[in-house]
Amino acid sequence: MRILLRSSLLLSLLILSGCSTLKPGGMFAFDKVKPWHKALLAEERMQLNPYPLENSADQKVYYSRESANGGQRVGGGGCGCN
Amino acid sequence: MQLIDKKSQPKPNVRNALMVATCTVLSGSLSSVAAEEEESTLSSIGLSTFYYSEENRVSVNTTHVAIENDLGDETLLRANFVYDTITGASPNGRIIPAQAGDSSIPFTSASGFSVNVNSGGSTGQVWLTEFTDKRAAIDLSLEKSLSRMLTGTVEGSYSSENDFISYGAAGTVAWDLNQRNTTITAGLAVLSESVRPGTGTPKGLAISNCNDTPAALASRPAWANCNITSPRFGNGSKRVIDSVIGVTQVLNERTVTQLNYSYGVSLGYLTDPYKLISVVDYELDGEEVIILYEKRPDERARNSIYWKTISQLSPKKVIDFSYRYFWDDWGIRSHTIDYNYRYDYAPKNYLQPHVRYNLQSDADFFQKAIDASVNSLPESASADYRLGKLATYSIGIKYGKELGDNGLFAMRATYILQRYRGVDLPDMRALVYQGTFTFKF
Repeated sequence: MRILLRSSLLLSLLILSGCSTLKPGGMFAFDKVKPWHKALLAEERMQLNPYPLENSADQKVYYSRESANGGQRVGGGGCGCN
Repeated sequence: MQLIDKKSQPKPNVRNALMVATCTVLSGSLSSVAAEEEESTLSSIGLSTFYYSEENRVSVNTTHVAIENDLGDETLLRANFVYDTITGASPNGRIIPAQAGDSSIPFTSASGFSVNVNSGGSTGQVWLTEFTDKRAAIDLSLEKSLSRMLTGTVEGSYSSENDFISYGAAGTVAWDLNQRNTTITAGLAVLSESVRPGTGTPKGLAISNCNDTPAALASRPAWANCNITSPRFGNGSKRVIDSVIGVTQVLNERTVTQLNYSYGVSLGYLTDPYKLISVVDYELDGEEVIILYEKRPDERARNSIYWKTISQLSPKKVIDFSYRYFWDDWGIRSHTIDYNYRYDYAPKNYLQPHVRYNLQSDADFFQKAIDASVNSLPESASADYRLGKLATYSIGIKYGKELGDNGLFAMRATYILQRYRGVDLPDMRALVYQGTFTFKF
């Protein structure tokens, strides 16, 4: 429970730190976005995996040093990491 | 009348907006929209050089080449080539007795050579096993639009180390709905892996070595026969099946969010053949009486829930954060938070601070050492610190620069600190450096 509380608090702080410039409803305000309003979402930096070379390296580092892994996608090769 | 704060609005680019709208209406998913914004940007080549260095432990050098090639007919080929060289030393699970002895255990490292476990307790704080290894991996995938709203990807992978081989296959489908504001994704992957230590795999919880000092002899448990050390078997093989189902939702013109559930099963030889566990007599100041090879269960079911959101706060600021909750039937629970803040401080230049936090509980069969007074051995036991309670803190900074119209260059540095509970290991400190260059054509 303490872990959850601590994690939630940290996550909230991180999110709020980036929300201050947004209108009420923040980044989570829900709109049905028309195709011609997706220019910002089409930018490379807005993709779900915008930096695949770095993400791939990070996944391997943490896979070899922690017990939890995955969650983003399936696929990729294995590693007998020590 | 609508009041608009012009400062917080992005500068409109009519040409781009029209092009994006046209592309979106005619074909392609969100990612392909990005790609089609400029027709000639579907193919790319990416190069990465990566260096990871732990204090007094492992160092890894990685070269990664990633190629994306537009084959036409809405088909994209991706190829990844990775080469790692790994050197250093890794904690092997033995405890440091109150008075470290000089016993040296013949041991087979990942490189296949017989090396010593550091005599006299290595650094004085932790027993390490030295090793060197090389890993080569290739990953090929083909993404194709199957219908107007359906995209399929198939993937094959192969990786090889001195003592490890992995073959993998995966398939993913993505279904766009709701004017492409919602995407349902489902994926399945299968891996066949083989652990191949130079001298074979030891029997789990069999004896590696015994302490012959008079005190240790006196407290040697009845179940231990030190005349018989572990037999060696052939390669250890395992199968891994991973699946994921997720939904990606466009929340507004600046924010997209993703929620995934993953389930995976690992079956077969899941033990680490290089890890040991000490049997200790706590009445003798924790004297190490026997050293065993570790043993893990031969099945593991893993689950995770992963949530990621990316939002553009202003034309110069993009944040992305993710949270993952992981749990498995070994008793491990893990929370991971990851946060990036990209600040485009000048045209074509950005800085991106990064923080990550992971907190993990221990596996049910994890123990620092086995008590010599037990009447029989447990079913499974491991002292591998990665199965214990730990917390990992990462903090980093990245600099990125666009080179001309088609080039992207980035370099980053990350500091990682890992702290343990329940084992007598010093904190692990590591530095990560990476440089990447991507050219689109």
